[in-house]
Amino acid sequence: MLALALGSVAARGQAQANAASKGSDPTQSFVSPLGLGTGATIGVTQTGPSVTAAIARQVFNPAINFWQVGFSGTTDTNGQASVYSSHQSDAPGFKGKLGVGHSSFIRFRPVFTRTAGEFLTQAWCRDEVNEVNKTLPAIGQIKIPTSTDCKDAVSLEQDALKATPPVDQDGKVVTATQTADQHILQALAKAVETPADKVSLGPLDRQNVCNTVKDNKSFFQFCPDSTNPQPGLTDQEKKYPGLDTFTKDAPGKFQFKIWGSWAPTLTSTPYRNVTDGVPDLADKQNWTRLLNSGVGDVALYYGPWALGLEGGFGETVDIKAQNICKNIVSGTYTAQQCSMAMVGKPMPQSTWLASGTLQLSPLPIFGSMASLSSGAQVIYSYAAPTSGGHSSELAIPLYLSPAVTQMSFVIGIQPTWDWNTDPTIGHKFSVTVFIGARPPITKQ
Amino acid sequence: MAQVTVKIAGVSRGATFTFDQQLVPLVDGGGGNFSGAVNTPAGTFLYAIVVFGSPGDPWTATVTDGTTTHNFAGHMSPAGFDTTGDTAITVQG
Repeated sequence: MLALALGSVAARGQAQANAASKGSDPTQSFVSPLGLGTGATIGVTQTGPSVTAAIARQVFNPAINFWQVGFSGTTDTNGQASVYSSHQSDAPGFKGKLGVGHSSFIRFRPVFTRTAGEFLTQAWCRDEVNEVNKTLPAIGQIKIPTSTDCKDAVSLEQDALKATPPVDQDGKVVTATQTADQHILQALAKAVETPADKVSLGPLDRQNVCNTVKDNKSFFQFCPDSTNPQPGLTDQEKKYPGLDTFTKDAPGKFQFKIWGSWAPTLTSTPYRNVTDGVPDLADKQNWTRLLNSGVGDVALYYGPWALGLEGGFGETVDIKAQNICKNIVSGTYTAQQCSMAMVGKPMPQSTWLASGTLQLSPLPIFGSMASLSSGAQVIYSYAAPTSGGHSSELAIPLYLSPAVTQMSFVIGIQPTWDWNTDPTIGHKFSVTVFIGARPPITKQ
Repeated sequence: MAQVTVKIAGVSRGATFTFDQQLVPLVDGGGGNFSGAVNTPAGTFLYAIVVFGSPGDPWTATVTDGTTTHNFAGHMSPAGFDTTGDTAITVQG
């Protein structure tokens, strides 16, 4: 874990080191229903340092196909008055989220991968044919339409090779190149022969042909065994428009995750008892309690959009700590020994919880960038104790991170508004600038 | 027996790895990284990776048995997915 706090840019200073999860939630917000996003985050908020960590793993069961465990700890070490609801994302204490659920992403798709493999083999064949074409003299090179399949492309290229074989600077036929060209075209022609029991050119045909061209870098570069990065379905469909009449049962644009979680919060605070309205300020007490909540989450995905909704019921507590001071008088001098404590014992309340997150990634204003991934979220959370009143929080993180890195890195800005009907907690606004990096926390 | 491992990067929403017609459980390692492993006897097998993320996001993957290594680099489709398709690998014993 490597993280760096930059500093605050807001009326109420707050610096947070955060990390991009290219996973569920780039900000790893505990109140976001998009899930925590696996990994770990260390940060500094106005209430003290915080650490968040989460992990998820797939399991294969028709109903439940993943589990996720997340923890977040925030300590109040700044020694200043702190007034907060335990539901707030930066509230001191230890929060956990243990959940199981179902993700439509995790599914066996045999028809899709088989037919996509057939198309990718056709595209590979076209790559090899194009490579042969490059060896011909300019006058003999042919332009094969992108939609032409392997069988026809090979036939056209064989004719071109016969008509105009590769030549050197003196116009003499280069027999080594000609032989290599003839070899791969013949191998491809043999592979695309379609006996009755063979449906289409497939990955095993590709491997068989590739095994015969291992000594020829020009042709072997398009083979998986070459260790050269091989393109995926999308890039090959772009390269050969009209060629993909093979791929079937592709995943839909709409996907979802649904899961339920137990969300305990361990809260602790010093307090002073109040008996019959009279506080006993001298007697230090400490209140520690595990507040339990159960929440259900739904995350919906459609292209660049993601929407998460969470609803739950559980316990929250409002903590209103203040300075309790002991005055020591010596002659004309007065000294004070002060510490933070709540006057009166904290009273947990049963509370309805709700939150929603809307995410857009990539952001259209940044266009299509190969090296950077951009995104924005609107996170809204709401808590309504059954005894009355309510509190809510609105955060709008904007972030940029490298598109593909082994160590995910993020930089962003997040304005946050908090409202509470309890006037002693009131409203607050802060802006967080965050920068951080997070390596994977699991290895296998 | 040999062990085939898969490492996938740049995937923001989900990924699956199918080896010899069986889904292999992946660990979401954070930062868009997924990994998994499967033990297998020597032979030629088909595998496939399917990835999900934001449209246009680049992704990479490596599949290896320690002797043979396959690398992939692609981009998510406008619908937010991509795949290697069924790919053949010959696993050394």
